Amino acid sequence: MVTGSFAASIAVLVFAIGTGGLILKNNLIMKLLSLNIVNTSSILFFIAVSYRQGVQAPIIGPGKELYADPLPQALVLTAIVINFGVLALSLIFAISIVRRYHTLDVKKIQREARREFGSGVED
Amino acid sequence: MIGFSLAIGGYLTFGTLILILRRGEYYLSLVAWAFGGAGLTSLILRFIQQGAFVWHVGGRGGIEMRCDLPALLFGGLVLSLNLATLLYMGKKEEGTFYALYNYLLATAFSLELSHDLFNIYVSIELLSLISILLIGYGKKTYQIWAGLKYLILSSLSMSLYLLGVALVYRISGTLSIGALKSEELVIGKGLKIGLALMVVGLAVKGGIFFFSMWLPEAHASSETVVSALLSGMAIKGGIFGILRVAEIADLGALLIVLGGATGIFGALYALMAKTPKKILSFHTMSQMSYILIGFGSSSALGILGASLHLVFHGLFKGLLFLSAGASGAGRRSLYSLEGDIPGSAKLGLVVGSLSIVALPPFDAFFSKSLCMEGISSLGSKATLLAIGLGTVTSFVKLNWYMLRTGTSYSFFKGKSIVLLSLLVLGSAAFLPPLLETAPLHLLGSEHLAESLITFFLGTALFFFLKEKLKKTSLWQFPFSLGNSVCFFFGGLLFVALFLLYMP
Repeated sequence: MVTGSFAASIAVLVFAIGTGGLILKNNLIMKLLSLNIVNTSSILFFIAVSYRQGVQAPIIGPGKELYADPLPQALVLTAIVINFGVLALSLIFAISIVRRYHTLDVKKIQREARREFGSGVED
Repeated sequence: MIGFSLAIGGYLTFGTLILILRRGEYYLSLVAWAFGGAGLTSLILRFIQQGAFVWHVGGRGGIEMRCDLPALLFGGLVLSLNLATLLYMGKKEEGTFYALYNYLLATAFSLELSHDLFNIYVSIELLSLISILLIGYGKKTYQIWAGLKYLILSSLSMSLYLLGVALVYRISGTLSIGALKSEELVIGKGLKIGLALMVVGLAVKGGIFFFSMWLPEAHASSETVVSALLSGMAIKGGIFGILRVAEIADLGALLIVLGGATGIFGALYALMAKTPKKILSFHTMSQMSYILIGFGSSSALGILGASLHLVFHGLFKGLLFLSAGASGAGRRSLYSLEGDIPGSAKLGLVVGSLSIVALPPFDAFFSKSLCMEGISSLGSKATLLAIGLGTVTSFVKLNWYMLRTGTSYSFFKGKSIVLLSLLVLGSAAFLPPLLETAPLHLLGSEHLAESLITFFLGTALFFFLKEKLKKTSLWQFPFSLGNSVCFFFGGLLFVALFLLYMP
């Protein structure tokens, strides 16, 4: 039986894995996937802390007295849609960067971008 | 609420019409501005009648919205910057740009009136997604990279904000800030961690040093209109969110510490920066200190000063960015400027600079003096004076090099600069009804002496350091993507420990 606090600890663990990837990986796509893992873990955390044992689905019917709170699901759906938008936009940005600089290495991209921006200005 | 629907409905409808019709973008945007103006006027009229008021979207128990003085001031800022940037860009952008621009303004309106933790999350996410699209709109790869860095940091920060919302909801069972305030919650460890997560999440959007390390690159590399809107309005979204969250529990001490840090580091980096747009971007970070420290002081005068600085900063920073853009030298090194700069750009630069260094009768003098009057601790006062000194020195540097170039007398893009200059000069005229007395006592007080002494000391400091500033550069490593994420988590640890263990 999965309890709320167990699921919440899993969410924190997944969050840490995602953060590790975001800091340590040098490949842009890996960074974006790590970011998505972080986002997903926050959604799992939201569901986990809102979990109540022994309640039923919030649909009106005979013999139902204890209902689950329907609000967290509604909020989490919105957050999932936003995260989808973020992932799609970031991948599009990644595609246009790779087309121009021909690399996924974040350090190289950073260097190229500084060169293109500054055109010789050290700031 | 009719005012709310008029403003948001106007911006959304005309933004969508621009996408469908593909013509008349400029005029449709002007009509959207008029709708925004009508909406704000209706909100102001109701505010004058009955003071701050609250309503719920979707009936009782729906999303809580609140119209109060900071919200109305923010609305005024959005409308002023809307008109100025619209006049600046005229008809020369593509249709989609105008559509995104109107959507951005709609989300700003939605944010300023939100009084619900989750609605703040949705509004800020939308605000940053649209800003990111606008940053990358110039289609230059460095702009897209700056946008992507912002996107990664902002999405990470909003995940943490969501964790914070989950904790607060678990403990209190509500998301409405009004209900959270009236419940008189016991601020236990769980709630403190929730608050820390939310504040840190919003700090990334709000231009606070160590959190918003994406900001200098994004603001300096985007197109002029976008820089002005981001610096003047979009980052105020994050600050505004922090102020709403601070209504739940007393976060005064934390705001003062964050304000001091962002002010000092922002000013230091601005001193060493070598291009006009970078100087302005770092000063966006440093000026947030007045707002945070003013609100952190929890005194009526400090809060009024901070609310006013939130608006005045938007006006003069918008003016400075538009002038830097019109000068054509925004991304060039100050030390190798050549060619003529339009007279209107120089005018805007001087007016904006005199305002940011807080000389009367320009507007920031009044907001900064009110902040100083509101704070009682000597440490905060000394920090703000040091930040003021750094601001004067870096703006004397900016003007010294930019005004020495030749002047061309084309009034290209002059309309928007003149409009914003007049607003920067005239906006202090709104003070008397807010203060319930004339603000003239500030002119005759020690604040005048304070600002004059800071100005002369800062100018002297510039001439003393002039050659050194040319050669010195500060570390750029904090601004790379991986390090920004590390700084962000370091900041989170600091904020959480501060809230848990400081009395």
